[in-house]
Amino acid sequence: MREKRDARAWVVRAMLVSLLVYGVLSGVSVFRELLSHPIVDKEDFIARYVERFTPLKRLLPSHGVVGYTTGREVDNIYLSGNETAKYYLAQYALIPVVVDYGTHYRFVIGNFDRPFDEVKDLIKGNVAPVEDLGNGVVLLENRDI
Amino acid sequence: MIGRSLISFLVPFVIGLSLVYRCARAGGKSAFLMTACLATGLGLALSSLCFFTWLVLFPGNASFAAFAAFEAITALAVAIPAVLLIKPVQWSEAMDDERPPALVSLGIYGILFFMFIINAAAFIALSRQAPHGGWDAWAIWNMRARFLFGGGQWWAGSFSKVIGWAHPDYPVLLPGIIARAWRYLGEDARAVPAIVACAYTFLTVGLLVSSLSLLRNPRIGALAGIVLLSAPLYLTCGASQYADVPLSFYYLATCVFFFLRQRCDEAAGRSLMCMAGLAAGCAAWLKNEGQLFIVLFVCARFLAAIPSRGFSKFFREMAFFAAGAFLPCLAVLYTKIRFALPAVDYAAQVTVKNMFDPGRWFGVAVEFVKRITLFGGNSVPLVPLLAAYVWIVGLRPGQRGRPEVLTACFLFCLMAIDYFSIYLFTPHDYTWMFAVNFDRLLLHLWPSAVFVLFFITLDPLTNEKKSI
Repeated sequence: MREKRDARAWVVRAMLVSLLVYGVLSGVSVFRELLSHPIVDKEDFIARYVERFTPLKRLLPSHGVVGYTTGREVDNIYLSGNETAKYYLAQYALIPVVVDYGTHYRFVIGNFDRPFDEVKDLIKGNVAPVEDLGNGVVLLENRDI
Repeated sequence: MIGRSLISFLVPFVIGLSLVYRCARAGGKSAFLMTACLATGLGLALSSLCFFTWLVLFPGNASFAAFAAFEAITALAVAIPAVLLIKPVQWSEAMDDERPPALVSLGIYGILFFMFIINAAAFIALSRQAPHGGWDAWAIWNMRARFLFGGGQWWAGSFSKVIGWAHPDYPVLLPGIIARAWRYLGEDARAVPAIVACAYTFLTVGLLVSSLSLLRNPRIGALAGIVLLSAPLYLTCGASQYADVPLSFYYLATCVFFFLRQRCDEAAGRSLMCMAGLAAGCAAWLKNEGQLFIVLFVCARFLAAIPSRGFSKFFREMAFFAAGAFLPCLAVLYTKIRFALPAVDYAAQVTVKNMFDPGRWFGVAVEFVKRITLFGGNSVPLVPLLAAYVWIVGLRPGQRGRPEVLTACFLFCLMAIDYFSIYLFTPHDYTWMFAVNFDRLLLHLWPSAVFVLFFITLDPLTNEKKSI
């Protein structure tokens, strides 16, 4: 009986040690991960991107909804990788104005990778530029609305 | 700036402390740490609620002095009745005091300390590499915080259905905390969301360790902390500034208050039930999943309590729970009604025909079990190891803990059924949905599951007798 109890105690201890070793190895793997990715401040892509829209804020209404276009039409803006991120970041930058994807609003934000002159043919419908703010950011107006 | 930062942290802490400081009496260091963790977590949630109330009552009021005065008055309005009404917690029995060799205990504490330091360093590294957090953090939580902070009288744009991708149906506990801190600082400092995320990540560890130290013994508490931190997903999700780790904190806080009742007299037990309600209410004020948690908690308690305690005791208990959850739930209800938000996101996404598809049942079941087994983010799965631990170490007799344990088990089962049904009925590809969010759903329950697991198992270091 006593031997059985001793054997069980050893199994329990082994289990405890396994749990502790697992914890240590997990900590070590996090540590190794840390060493392989040195602690450096990466370029703040979001802050830089948001900055592009700063001049636009003074031209927009203080609230309400505005449109958004990149000249490219995507099937689903919510599942389009980079395009999605750019659209979300435009909203992030332009708070408290609400930014909707599409040109069905009077004011539309144009967000382009290249200068507007090079991409203006991509804009469809009766949408005309109000002001080109540089860096591919343009305030557009839908004259049908 | 530093003064304002300190005050922005102190006010919530004082509010929270007024609610829970009576738990710290006569409980030693563990009770002190537990009280500090609970006070900070609850205080942050209440300060967010206070900030939201300010926005609703005085939209566009940019005066910091007026806001600070409003917050101070609200803090007093919460703290004074709390101090007068909440009963002191008298611990009715000593915790497990059988001591194993000191060297073994020291080893366990040492490993916990090592893991804490490593995880803290990793958190800082991850936060420096992605200061705005992961995608959901900046696109949902921090973006909505910017609405609350910089939106002036148009802050409610945060709930606009036009930006459905930002989950306007989610409540604003987390954006409220961040926006409030920015209000104190006077700028949208990018460090704030990371500090809030850091606070919740390590408050959860502190709460788990201290509560189990109090309810069981410090070694068990440390062991639980090691297991919690053994899942790297917990850290990465915390550093991503997602709401999942804060939600897991409020789930754990609910469980802790609920389990603490068994160690104190009836009057203090009622106060603790009220606090459990408040913690669950904070979960509801944080994320839609938290609203479901409240409902399922009540259902689980019903299933566990009715056979042994009867209807009248159950309803009396739930009255205290509801009193605690009242304010956060009122805020949730207000946002749902004012902004006409759907009650539950998934309700509109049910495809009933999936119910009659055996292939889908099988596929979802396989994926469900596989993902639970592989949970944690390590190459060697942690969950089977924990299952082996329970089997080998064994469950402790603990008649006193039984109704609480039963409630927790029912709760986990109901949550599992709910999660399963989401994947079964979704019109989307379930494998994609599993890949996107199942680990995070499990993460919500991870600290609570670790808490219950170490509460019910025997102490592997002492000679407790195995009962089953």
